[in-house]
This record gives sequence, C-alpha cells and structure tokens, in this order.
Amino acid sequence: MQIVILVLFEVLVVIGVSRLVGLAFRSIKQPLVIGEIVAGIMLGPSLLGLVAPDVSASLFPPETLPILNVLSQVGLIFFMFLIGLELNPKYLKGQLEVAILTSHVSILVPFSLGTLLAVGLYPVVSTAGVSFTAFALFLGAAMSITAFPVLARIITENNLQGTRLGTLALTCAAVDDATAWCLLAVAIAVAKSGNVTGAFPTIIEAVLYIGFMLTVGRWFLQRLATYYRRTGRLSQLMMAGIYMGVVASALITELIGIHLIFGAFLLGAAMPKNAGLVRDLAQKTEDFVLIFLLPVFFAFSGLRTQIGLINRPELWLMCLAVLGVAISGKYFGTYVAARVGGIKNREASALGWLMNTRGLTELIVLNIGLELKVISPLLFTMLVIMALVTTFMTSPLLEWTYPKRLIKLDMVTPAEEDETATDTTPTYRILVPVANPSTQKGLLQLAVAIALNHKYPALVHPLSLIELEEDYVFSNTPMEADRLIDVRRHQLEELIQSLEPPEARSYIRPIIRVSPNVARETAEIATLDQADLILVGWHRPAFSSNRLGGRVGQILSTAPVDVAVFIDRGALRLETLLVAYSANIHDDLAIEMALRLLVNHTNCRLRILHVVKEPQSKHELSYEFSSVMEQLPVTVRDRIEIEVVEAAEPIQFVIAASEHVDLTIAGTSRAWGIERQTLGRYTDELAIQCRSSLLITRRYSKVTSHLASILNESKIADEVSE
Amino acid sequence: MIPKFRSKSLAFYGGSIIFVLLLFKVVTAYGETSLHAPPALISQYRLNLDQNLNCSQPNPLMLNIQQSGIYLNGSLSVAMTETPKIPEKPTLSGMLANRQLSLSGKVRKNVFCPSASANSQDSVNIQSQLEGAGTLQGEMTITGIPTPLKFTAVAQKPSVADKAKSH
Repeated sequence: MQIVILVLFEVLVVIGVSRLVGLAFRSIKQPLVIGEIVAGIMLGPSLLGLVAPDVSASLFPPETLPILNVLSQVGLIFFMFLIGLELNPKYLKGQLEVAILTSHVSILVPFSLGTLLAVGLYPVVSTAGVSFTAFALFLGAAMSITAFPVLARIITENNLQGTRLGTLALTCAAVDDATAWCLLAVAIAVAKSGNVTGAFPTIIEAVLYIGFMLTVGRWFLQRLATYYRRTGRLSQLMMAGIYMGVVASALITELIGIHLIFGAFLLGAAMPKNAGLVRDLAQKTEDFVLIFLLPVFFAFSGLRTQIGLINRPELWLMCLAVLGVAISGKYFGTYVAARVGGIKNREASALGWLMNTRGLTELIVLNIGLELKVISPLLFTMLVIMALVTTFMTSPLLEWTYPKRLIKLDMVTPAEEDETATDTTPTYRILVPVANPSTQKGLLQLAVAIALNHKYPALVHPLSLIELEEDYVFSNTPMEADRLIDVRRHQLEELIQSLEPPEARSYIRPIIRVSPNVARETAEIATLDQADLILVGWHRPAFSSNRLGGRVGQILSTAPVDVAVFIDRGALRLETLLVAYSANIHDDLAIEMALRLLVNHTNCRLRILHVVKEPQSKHELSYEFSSVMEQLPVTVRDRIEIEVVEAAEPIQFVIAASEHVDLTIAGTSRAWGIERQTLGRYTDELAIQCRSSLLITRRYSKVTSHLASILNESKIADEVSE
Repeated sequence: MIPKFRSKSLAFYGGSIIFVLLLFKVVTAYGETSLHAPPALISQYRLNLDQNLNCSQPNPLMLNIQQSGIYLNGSLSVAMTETPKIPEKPTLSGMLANRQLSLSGKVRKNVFCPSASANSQDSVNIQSQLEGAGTLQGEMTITGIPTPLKFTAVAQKPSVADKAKSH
C-alpha cells in the first residue's frame, strides 16, 4: 500500500509540474509537449537530483520505478494508437511524387550521416555487449525521425494547412513517419538478435502481421464502422472491444520481437477513417492518456536523462556534433530533395526546417534504445537534448524563412480575402472579432453602419478565431481544424445574410483562422490587414465581472490600432446618438465615430455633451474638434447639437442623458470612469450604468483619421447640392 | 493512385537508396571488424583493501561505477546489505582505456571511517587494471596517507532494485 500511495503522489507532482512548464512554453509560442518533456527532465537527476538529492530520492525511490514504467508503457501504447488513428490517407493527396522523394531522401541523408557518426561514437560511448550494426542502425534511425504529431500541430497553429507548403509538409511527414517506424522495427529486431541475418525471421513475421492487419483486420474494423454509422454512437461495449484490440495487437508485436508500440499504432492506422468514428474514439481516449499517462512517460524518461553525465568539454563537443549531424542531415536532405523535385527555394527551406522537428517521436525511439541497452545513458541524454533543441528551433525558423505575410499569397484553397469583387481598394476597414455569431448581430450591424458609405468602398471583416488550447488534442489536427473552420464559416454566412441593408453584404468578408492566442492574433491580423478600427463586442469574462476584462481587455491593451468596444443593449435603430466629450484624445475618436455614422446615415441626429468641471473652459472645444466640425457639410452640421455642461458628476449626467438615445459613444477617459489602470485593466463604470447601448472608443494612433475617407466625398456632394 | 515519376526524380531516388544501402553495408562491415568498444563494467565492486587505514573500525567499501563507454563516473560508498535509500551522487570521474581504469575525485571522510566527520572530504585517486572474471586490481591514493593502498575489487551481482532502475 505504501508504494501505491507514493506512486500516486508522484503522479500528482508529475501532472502538476508538466502542466505548469507546458504553459510556460506555450507562452513563448512553443508546443506544449516540449514543456512536458522538459518538466520530466527537471524532475529527474538533471535538475531535482542535482539541487535537492534528498527530495529526489524520497520522491522517486527505486521501488516505485517499475510501477511508473507500467503506467508509462500503457500511456505510450494508447498514445501510439491515437497517432495511428490520426494518420489519414487523405493527407497523401496531391504532390505524391515530390512528397515520397523528399521524405525518403530526408530519411536517407540523416541515416547515412548517423551511420558515419556511429563509427566515431561506437568506440567511445558504447560497450562491447552491443553490436556495431545495432548501434549504427539505432543512431541512424534516431537521426532520421520527424515527429508527425508535433509537425501537424505547428502547421495547424500557423494556419498553414490550406497552403501548398503545409500540405506538402504533412504528406512528407506522414510518409517519413511510416518509413521511420519500419526502420525502427528493423533496428529493434537487429538489436535483439545481434545481426541482420538473425533479424530476418522477426522482420518477416512483422511484415506478415502488418499484412494481416491491413487486410483481415481492416475488414473487421469496417464492420465496426458500419455498425457505428447505423447506431450513431460509440457504445462502451465497442470501446471495450477496441481497447482490447489495442492491447492484444501490442502484445502480438512484442511477441514477434518488435516493440509494443507498433501493434497499437497499427491498429490505429488500420481503423477505417470514418470521420465521426475516429473523432469520437479520439475524444474519448485522448484526455486521460494525454493528461494523466503521457506525462508519466515523460517523467520516467526524464528520470533516465542525466545531464550531469556530460561533465567534460569533449562530451559537450560530442553533443554538439550529434546536434549538428541531426540538423544538417535533415535540413539539407529535405532541401536538396525538394529542389530536385521542383519546389521553390523559400518553400524548400521552410520544408527543411519543418521536417527537422523531432519532438515526442524521437523520445519514444530513444527510450526503446535505452531499454534494449543499445544506447547508454550518456548517449541517451545527448540525443534527448538534440530532440528538444531541434523541436524548439522549428517555430522561430519557420517564421524567419516563411513569414506569415507570405502565406496569404500561397493559398491552395480560394483566399478568404479575395478582393476581385470590388474594383477599387477599400478606403476603410473594420475588423470585428466575432466570438459567437448567433448573438452578435447587433455588433456586425453597427460595424456595417460605421463603415459603409454608399459612395466609398469599405470592408468589414468579421474575424472568427478558433482557439487552440491544448496540444495533441484531436481537434488540433489539420483535418479537424479545417472542419471547424467550415462550421464557423457557415455560421458567419448565415449571420451576414440576415443583415440589412442587402447591398452591404458584399462588403463583408469573413476571416476565419485557427490561433493559439486570440488577442495576439487579432492584433497581428489588424496590423497585417491595415485595419482602421477593431470593433469588438463585450462579454463577461470568466473570472471577474469587469466588462472590459478578459479578452476584450487584452485587445484594448495590446492592439496597435484604434479600438471600439460595443456594449449592446438591444437597440434596433441608430437614429439618436450621444457623445460624451471631455477634451481627451479618446473622446475625439468617439466624435469621429459619431460623425461617420452621421455622414453615412441621413436620418441620424447627434448630441454632443461637452462636460466640464470649471467654468472658464466652458466654451473651449479642442482645436481638432473645431477644425473637423468646420469641414463638415451643412447637411451634417445641421443634425448636430453641441451642449456644454458644467457638472460635478459628469458620469451621472451622461447616464441620465443616455436614457433617451439609441447609442452613447464615449472614450476611455477618467471622466467616464473608464480608464486604463496599471496592469492594463480597464474600469467600466459608465459601461455598467449606461442606459442605452454604449460604444467605448480607445484611440491608438494620433494620425489615423476615420473621417478622411468620407469627408472629401461629402464636401463634393455638398458643393454639388449648393 | 500510382504516381507518375519523372525519370530524373526516379534516377535520383533509386540512386540514393542504392548508395545508402551500400554505404551501410560497407560501414557495418568495417565497424564489426575494426571497431571495438570498451568492455562493459559491472556497476558495483566490493573493495578489499590490502592494508588498513588509520582507523579503529574501517567501513567495508563499495565502488559504484556508471559507465558510458570509455567515460566513467563513480562513487565510493559504505557497503551495506540493502541498497541505501539515497543513491550516491557520483563524485569520482575518470576513463577506461585498454582495460586500465582510472578514477579520481573527492570522497567524504566518514565513508572510510565512521568516526570521522561527514563534512570534510579526502581526494582519492584510483588506478586499477581490469582482470578477468570481473575483478579489479589496483591501488588507491588518499590524501593524508603517504603510500598508495593496494586493493582488489570483486564484482557484485546487481540487486533487484538496481535491475528495476536500469529499466
């Protein structure tokens, strides 16, 4: 009982630390799984064992290690099953010739370099009990791995899955993965038997089993899929059968002489890729495996990683050599093969960096090598470092060789911002983050009202960002991400079709993306797109009641564009407007918004409440304000009423005035109780008490004018009518 | 779904595969015949000193070795019937070359003598020869003792817990 308690405590620590470190890595735009691997290493002799050996020894005593081993093997088996499930032949669509050429060469080059490296390493880090052939095979296989799961996530997060580069990378990685697993199987067979000829029986048995699974097994699973299609759900009985199949298949491959993981992977790969069945199966299996069991595998692997073993300069040099061989083998192999296959320079380079990702798959291979004693703890540690470094470098290098702005030019599917419909470039753009299409009709209606002027083209971009929270979740695979994007697009289309007036609908172009960080991505898209304004709706954030907290607050604080927050109280018309003015730059933006609405809609009336505290500034309006007013045509000026009011409680005055209007517009200024505090949070006093719908404006750029595009027009119209 | 391969790509592809297979064959042939890795060392050796230390009740000593090819890390600990709860951090490091083992580093004084203090350390240098049947023969130099101490060490069968740890 004592051991069980200790193991459970270990699991508690492992999961907690993994999540924390994983989140830290997420915030620097790295995959979550790297954080989990690092967490495992930190809990082992490399960090915890070094700084607090007593804690380390009492936390992970030798008696608990066999139990952790069992848990991690179970986790690994089911994880490989999930990987097999995700491997969809649909990824092999198109460009197959280039993909097969590139991926196989991207295995051959690092493999040969690894073999040559083995010549140098064998006399120094291996022992006589290991045959050179097995050692060279393992080292070659370790150099040739590309982690398909990690790669798929990176591609999805960068929204590359629709591009030529993305599909090519996925195809290459899928072929690469399958080939590398075969190579690993051969390596294991050779390691266990000592030489190549001794491994032949094992290899033949393995091939026979694969054949069996892909024919008889598939046939049987097809019937399962048919049953699922008929009943529409995955019953527990079916799940029991499938899990038993996973374990049985794993046992069979272990008996054959290649590792447990192959059987599990094979069953996953043989599963018919009926979208609903695979999704249900994945969703039911992945949470427990990814959250509970896989971190135990990483911790177990981390317990065997001893960075302290690299305690001499020549050993660090060796580590660098391993790293150099791994990176150059993969990168140059892929690059040259892609160029031979006709891929352009920049794309081939990006592909090379993508294929360099080794991540989790490498760790699995290394652990098997260590178990079989083909590689020693020292070499194991060096290779783990190599796996981490190569995966870590992928995202930044991808951004460097293939920056996001080039991706738009490269869509395989029709671009979302296809602007051939309008003849002229739009003069005004509003970006509207839409979280929930069904409830934000008012928001979009307001955006249309602000943007659209009948004579000057403007564009409204409803932005729907699908947030990725965790790694390795089925919904993050490229196919599933595409499906979610389609669902959102459909919802947005429905919303757009319900807007008035009908002519406005062609000026609305949705942008739908996958993103790990909504606020950051919104800011980036606003910059890339040269949006003039971000119009966002309020929503109650999860942990506070501040209407300007949460994501809205993040966008308000970080977006390098003018922002307006709309708090919809259900007003159906936009005929009476109220602007609360306190001679502040944000309030100037409020006036600009109001004036745009006024110019665009001839039945709007505007009342500007200039609230002052001291009497002497009673009749002073800001310079900019006055000059703007002078530029307005008479027809517009007639509908404006300016009132200068002296009030001790400006907020209350505005609230009272808001009772009778359709929309109140105010800037983020202290006068209205809406201001930015030290940590970037905004207070929201006016927002809570305002009686009408409220638009809160925050100015970023002192240069952007929201009126320039329509003022000239109006002036000309004015002159014509005079 | 059979892809059409252009002849140039096919030639490149076929050539690469043949090249790599040949390379592998040649390299493994060379490796199997000409390259030799150092022999595997057992992880624990029980030390029997030929002379006595200046100590009333000297502890029986165990030499623990972690081998990574020719690079060795090790520690000296008190031999006990069960494995100690806290595994010794390796304090000795050295190399294995041509069956010659050398290790040097610091060892706490109370490993040698239970009555000595735990806080001070001796510098220890071990030079030994790997004999057949897993025995080591050599000498150990400890600070404070002018003449090197000869010893023989006998390999210990690894215990169950150790076996589990290596998995």
